[in-house]
Amino acid sequence: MLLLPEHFDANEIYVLCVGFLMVSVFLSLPRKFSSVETYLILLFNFFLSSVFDQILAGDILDCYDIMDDPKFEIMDMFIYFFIYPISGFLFMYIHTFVPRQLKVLYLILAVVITMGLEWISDLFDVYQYKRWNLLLSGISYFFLYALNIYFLKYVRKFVLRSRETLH
Amino acid sequence: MLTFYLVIKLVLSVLLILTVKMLWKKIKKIEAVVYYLTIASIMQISNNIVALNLELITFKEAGIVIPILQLDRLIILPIITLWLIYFYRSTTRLLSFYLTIIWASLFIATTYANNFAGVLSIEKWNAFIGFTEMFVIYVLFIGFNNFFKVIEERV
Repeated sequence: MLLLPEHFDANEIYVLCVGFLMVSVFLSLPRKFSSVETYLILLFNFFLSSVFDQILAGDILDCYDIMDDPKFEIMDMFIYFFIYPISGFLFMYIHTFVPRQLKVLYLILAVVITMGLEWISDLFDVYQYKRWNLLLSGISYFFLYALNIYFLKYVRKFVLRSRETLH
Repeated sequence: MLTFYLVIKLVLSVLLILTVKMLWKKIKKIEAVVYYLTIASIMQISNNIVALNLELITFKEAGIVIPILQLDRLIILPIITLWLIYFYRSTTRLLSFYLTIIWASLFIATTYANNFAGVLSIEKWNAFIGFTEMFVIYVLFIGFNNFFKVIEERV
């Protein structure tokens, strides 16, 4: 059973505003990926966030809590559905415009920006670190964004193959 | 005991990964990716709801427990689910129904096996709760996948 927030205060309002902003940006962007690619990028980031957050913030390791309650609440689900997947999508979207020789620099820049956004989120009490810190998040983001790049590469290969089998 | 249990899980995972090639006869690779990502995410969240929010199951201390649980959630159960989809496409509807019940039972059996091995301890959880959990997982899984099918057909 998903729990409701203990108190509806700054962190919930912050998460809702960020979610609203991200969905607005996502919907207003000109199409760059096919519907299947878009779905897969969003699903892959939903998968990454649910798996990594459940391992790190779950009952066993308990490195940090998200929102008010150490338990799983509805706002956690909101973050998994809207904020993490769209962040991954935006990273991939901009990535397609970056020239090949600047890709690594872009990856590092994206990690720094995401760390900055996490720092702001921390100010709003979205995260409560226990055995975790911003630097560890930065290292994780580096690998997660790199995984996204490789994932899209494979997805494009599979989509192409499945179209060939259809024709 | 736990190390031996982990070795069994590892062997089982490798064997299941080796069977994945056989799935390509009935399932497209892109579909398999979607099915895998969907079921693994849903299982991860639902298992944590049962453990964290409802406190029906408690886990032993970190260490060897994490790889054992993650092998279940990320390899064994998702690949079994892919096989379920494979059988949906190659058997009758009645047989598919029975296979779905076996699939849910396998998940429940895994939880009991984990309890027996000392990975977790069952507090107020039982097979009926397990079937309810699997019903929710199944409905969400089918819903997400049908949504993907609609998107795929529109392309």
